[in-house]
Parts: sequence; structure tokens; C-alpha cells
Amino acid sequence: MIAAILIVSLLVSEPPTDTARVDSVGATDAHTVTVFAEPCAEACFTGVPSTTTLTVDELMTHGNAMLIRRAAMAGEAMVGGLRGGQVTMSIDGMKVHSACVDKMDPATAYVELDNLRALDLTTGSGDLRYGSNLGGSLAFQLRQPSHDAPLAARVEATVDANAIGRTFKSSLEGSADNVGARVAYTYRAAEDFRAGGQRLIAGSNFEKHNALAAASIELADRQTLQVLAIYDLATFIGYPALLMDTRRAEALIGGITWKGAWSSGWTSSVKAYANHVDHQMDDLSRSADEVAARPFMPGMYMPMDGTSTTLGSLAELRWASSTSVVTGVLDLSYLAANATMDMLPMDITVSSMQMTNIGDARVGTYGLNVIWEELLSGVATVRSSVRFDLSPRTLRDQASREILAAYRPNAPIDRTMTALSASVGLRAALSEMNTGTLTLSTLERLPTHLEMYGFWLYDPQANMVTVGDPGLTPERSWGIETGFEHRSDGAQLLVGARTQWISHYIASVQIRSNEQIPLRSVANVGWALLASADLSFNLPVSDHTVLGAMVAWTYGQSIDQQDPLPLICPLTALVRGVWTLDNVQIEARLRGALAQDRMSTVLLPENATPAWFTADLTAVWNATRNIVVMASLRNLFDAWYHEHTSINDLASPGRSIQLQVRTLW
Amino acid sequence: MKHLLQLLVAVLLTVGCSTTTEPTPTDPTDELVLIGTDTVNTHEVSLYFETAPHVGMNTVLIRVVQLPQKTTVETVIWKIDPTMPSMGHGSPGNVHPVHHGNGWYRGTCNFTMTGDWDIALTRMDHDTIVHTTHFPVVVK
Ligand SMILES: [Cu+2]
Ligand SMILES: [Cu+2]
Repeated sequence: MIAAILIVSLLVSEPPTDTARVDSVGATDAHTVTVFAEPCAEACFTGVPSTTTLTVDELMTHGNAMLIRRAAMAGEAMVGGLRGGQVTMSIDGMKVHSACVDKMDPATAYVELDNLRALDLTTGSGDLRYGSNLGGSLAFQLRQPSHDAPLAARVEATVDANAIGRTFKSSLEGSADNVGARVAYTYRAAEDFRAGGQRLIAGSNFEKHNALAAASIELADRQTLQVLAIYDLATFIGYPALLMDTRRAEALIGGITWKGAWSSGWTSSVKAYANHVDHQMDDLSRSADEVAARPFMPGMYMPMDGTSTTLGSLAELRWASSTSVVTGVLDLSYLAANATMDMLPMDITVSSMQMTNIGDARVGTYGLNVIWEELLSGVATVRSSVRFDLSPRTLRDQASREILAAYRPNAPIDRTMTALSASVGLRAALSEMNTGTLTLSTLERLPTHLEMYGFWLYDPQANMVTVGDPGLTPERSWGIETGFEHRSDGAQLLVGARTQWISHYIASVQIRSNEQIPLRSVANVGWALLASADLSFNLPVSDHTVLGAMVAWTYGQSIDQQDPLPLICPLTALVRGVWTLDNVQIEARLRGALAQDRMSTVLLPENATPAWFTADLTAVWNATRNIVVMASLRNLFDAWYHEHTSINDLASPGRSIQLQVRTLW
Repeated sequence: MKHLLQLLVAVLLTVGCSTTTEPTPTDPTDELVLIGTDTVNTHEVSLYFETAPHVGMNTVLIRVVQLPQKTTVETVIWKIDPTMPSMGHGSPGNVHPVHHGNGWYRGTCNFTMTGDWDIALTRMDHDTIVHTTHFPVVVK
């Protein structure tokens, strides 16, 4: 069994992801240990960032998430062919809604790797705690300061030769009496990156800051109060795949959580949170020629401003006995969202214009999730989960209501929607080393405020604008999931397969073509079929070497539209080999995908994507107890490629050397 | 004395004239925003908005009189079609004006954004276009 390299053994290792999930309200979590040590360098994805992971984007792809890429950073995660509102994204259970109507600001942009304890990445119906979804959840669990941690500082600097990328991270943690606190700051910036063949991707530069402050106060025995604040500021993010760039984006996220554990198996937590995102984007960095000649809305600059404000509360109550665990999660949130766009013609004889893209949309989502796990015998466990959501929603801006009503005369704008999801799964030990799972589910997910109330939202891939439909019906999925797990002597094999039929699938359809600007409407387009399978293994081949691999396959088809679902990844694989010798760890990584020639032509016209693969080589050297040096060669063969989920075929970075120095005191 | 007589005549004439041409107290044009007037053959067509043109649904009023007597015309079939020429789009949900009394026609015009719009007002004879007048409007 491979001895994992511990960068600095200040404290004990993190629990594995599964435990983290189970303990989300548990007593152990109220006493979360602070970890400077990196987790075991397993070649399998555990959700805990490994030593060689550099960004949250990279971490997500090491699980079976695929990223929709629009820029050099802030990829939008897809899970098993699900995306957007079909997937729940949360930070410590908190929902942070996009303020950008062009999906430039997924909530993952606000999570820095060193602040992350683990990513609970769920494919399938297993996680409905933080929102109704169709079978995909990314729950980011942040590190909580410990009230008995010694004073520790960490400084980390990374440079990336490809884009002259600079990442600087620093954090300070300490405790006094019953209070633990941690502050962290990250600066990330890069110039334009070069794709394979050293081709420059102009306008892909970015710069952002992220600051976090957290405190944990032990109120009494097994009772903890946690306070969290994150401020994220992007001063520029270039989006070469889109018409516009982020000029300035600010996010302020705050939460306060009380956690308590009681005798006789009861644990509970209550969280109140609020966040506000202000997102400004424009095309003022684009050349006049580009603006004048582009096919969509040529000859005008289009600065946009979007805001989202979310208030929420999350209460979890859990009871555990020797054979049962029952968890209740009350998940309440309220969103207010606005977005406007100015249009400034280059021809000064034409008046400037302004439109409202989101006219003060208000969406309340009040959900209750009850999970019941019962040990039937020594070998089988049944897990049932039910979630119900009540969601009143409206559009407050009168002109926006009138305009939307003109497009959808029969759709009520003020609605109270409901969603009911349920799953039941059986997990049984087939033998001492083998376990099988079978889950049946029916999941319902509510349309997003953009899908219902969006006006003239631009789709860069289809090159058209989309109008929302307030009359949408929630999507409903009927699914079956199976899994197989083998564990022996450090080896691990996980196989999973899922099939789901989705009714009222939400996509956009063309509604009008006699105008210069092609217009689409969001609509329920009937049934869709989604199937996915993945396999991962972790195989120690010697005392110093471990091999791992992850293979993911997805298939999607709109049955009524007779169209392959868009943005479906072809067969994708990640192979990792990790060698550990004394204080050095070397990791080789191969990642690639087959060609995708099943393309959507109706729902979201897209291109075929050729097969690709990349090779990375990373070495980590534990120089002293306090200093770690990492060198990484990414895309060794300088392959020119793009992933199928890259918008407008945005190329991925070519060869790069990255150097990182980490010091801990 | 002659001057006094002239003054008296002038006053009487003024009073007389004002009595015959004074707008009725309910003249709706007092409250309306005149967008433009066009004369086609012997018809004078005036396009009004109930309020200053704004984003969203706007009530439009059309007044048609026969020249030179200015008698009201109550049988015109209108089509209204707002477009934004600089961007090449129109808007849905417009309601073609129909007669609702005394030579006044009422309809609805939808502006989806601020800026320069063009309102094409078309007089129809069944399905045949008789005449189209374009009224430029700045929506604020
Ligand atoms: Cu944006
Ligand atoms: Cu326009």
C-alpha cells in the first residue's frame, strides 16, 4: 500500500468525501480538524484536492464533472450530461446565483482550492440536500477553522510559463480560548494563453482577487458557531469564446452556522446566509473592426450589468441509531435578480438603446429533504430520500412583465410552482470485498429564473437570442442507477451506470426567423433520454507506485425533437500514475477523449469535435518541513485541442511549465 | 367713436370666433403626446401616444379627419408595426388600432427597448395596403 506523501504533517488527514457527506451535520464536523497536510495521493477521485491539483476547475475534472469552457478559468460544471439548473451547486450548502446572464460566473469561481475541504461530487440522485436537481450535485465543503489549532501561516506562489500566470495565496490560522479563526487571500492573474502549437488565444487574460475570513467559536460542549465571509473581485476576465468580457465582478458571500450534537444520536445545525453578486461585462476591449463586423448585433458596444441577491437559511436535523439514520434538511432561499444591457451604436446618429434582460425576478425556493437510511441486515442498507419544493416566483418590473406577456400571452407570470423528488436505493454486500447498489428515482427540477424570465439572453454557440417562458413546466426524470464496488488491499474499483428519461426537457427552440436577429424561446421540448456510465479504479502496483483511471461515457437524445442533446461529452478518460519516493512524489497524467460526432442540430447547433489527449508530468519535492516545491509540465506534447463542451470550440492551453513554492510556518 | 365701434366689432368677432372653434373641455389631445401628422389625399391622420413613449406596452390613439371640413372618419382599418431599424427587429403583442368613437382609433404598441423606433402605420382596404406612413419615435 502506498504511503501517501504528507506535505507537512501538522495535523491528521481529512475524512474521505463519503464521510464528509454523512457528517455534514454530525458531531465530528463540529470539531473539524484543520488540515495543512495534503491527503493521500490516491489516484482515485475522493473530492479532496490532491497535492498536484492547482485549481478548482482541475479538481472538478478529476471527478467525473465535465466543464463548459468559455474562458481560461471559471468553467461551468456538467455532471452526467446534466447542466445549468439541472445540477445543484452549493458552497457549504449556500446557493450563490449567477448575476451574469451569459454564464460567466458559476459559483465555483468563488471557491479557492486552499479554502476547500472537499468537493462532494454526486452523479445520480444521491444528493438533494441543497436543491432539487436532475441527478447532479457539486457541494463544496469549505475548511472550517479549528478552535484549538496552533498559529500557522501559509504562503504559496505559482507561476505558469504559458500565460505568464501568477497565483499568490496566503493564509493565516490560529486560535485562542474557544475561538478559531482563519483568513486567506488569493490573487490570480494571467496574460493571454497559448493553445497547442503555441497559437495565441487573444483576449484570454484575467485578473482576480479572493479573500476569505472564517471563525469557529466553541459555545459549549459539542456546540459550535461558525462565521464565514468571502469577498471575490474580478477586475477583468477575458472571454474569447463570447462577445463580451467581464469588466468587473464582485461577490460578497456570508453565512453564520450553529452546529450542535446532542445525546442519544441527535445532531443539528442551522445556517443563515446572504450573498450579493454584481457582474459587469462589455465588449469595450474588442477591436472596432471586430465590433463592426461581427455577425450578431454588429456596429454597437453592449455593456451589461447584472446583479443577484440571495438570502437563505438551511436547517439540518439528524438522528442516528445503530441501524437507522434519519436526516431532515430544510432549505429555504430567496433570490432577487436584475440585468440590463446598453447598446451604444458606433454610428453616432443613432440613439443609444437599453433593454432589461431580467426585470427584477424574484424566486423563493422552500424545500424539505428527508433522508432515511436503514440497515436491514448485516449486509444490506436501504436509503430513501424525498424532497419537496414550494417555489413562488414573479417578475416585478412592469415593463418586463408586459414585454414577456407579449411573447407568451397565455403564460402566467406570477406562479407558485412545486417539485417533488424521491429516490430509493439498496446497497448490498455481495461478498466481503464487493458491494452492489441499485437505485430508482423520480426527480423534478424547477426552471431557473433565466429560463422563465430572461429576455434577449444571448447564446454564443447558437448565435441567437433567447426569450424565457414563464409558463414552463418543471422537468421530471425517471431513472435507474446501478453501481458496483470492489475493495481489496488498497485496490478499489468503482463502476456506475445510470439511465434516465426526462419529460418536459427544457431547451430553446426557434420562434421567429423573419428578422435580422434570430430569436429563440425557452420551451419544454418533450422527452429526452440521458444515459451515463463511469468506471474508476485505484491499483497499488508496488510499495511506491499506484495507478488510477477514470473513464466516463455519456449519451443524450431528445426523443421528441429527434436530436442528440447538445454538449454531451464523448468517452473521456483520465489515467494517473503516482510514484512516491521518500520526500518526492511524481505524477504522470494522461487525459483524453474520443471524437464526438453526435451533434445537436436543433436544440443547440454545435460542431463535431475530434479526439484528443494530453499528457502532464508533475513532481512535488518536500524540500524541508516548511517548504514544498512543485514543478509541473502540462500538455507535454503541446496538443492543439478543444473539449466538446468548449463554447465556440475554444481551444485549451498548450504546453506549459508551472512552478509552485509553498511555505508553511 | 369710430375707434370704439371698431373695438366693439373686434371684441364681438373674437367672442364669436372663440365660441365656434373652442375645443370641448374633454378634448383628449390636451393630455396626449402627438407623434406626428400625415395628410394622405383628403385624410389628415394624427398619431398620438397616451403617455410619452416608454419601454413596454403603450396605448396609441389615431385621429382621422376628412379635409377640408374636418369631419370625422370612422371606418379605417389600421395595422401598426413598430420596428427598430438600426437592429432590424420588431416587437410582438402590438394591437392594431380600431375605432372607438368620434374619429378616434385606439391600439397598443410594444417597445422592447429604448432607442430609435419606427412606427409603420398602414391603412388597409381588406387585405390590400392603401398607404403606409412611417412615424419615427424615440423611446426613453
Ligand atoms: Cu457576463
Ligand atoms: Cu433593438
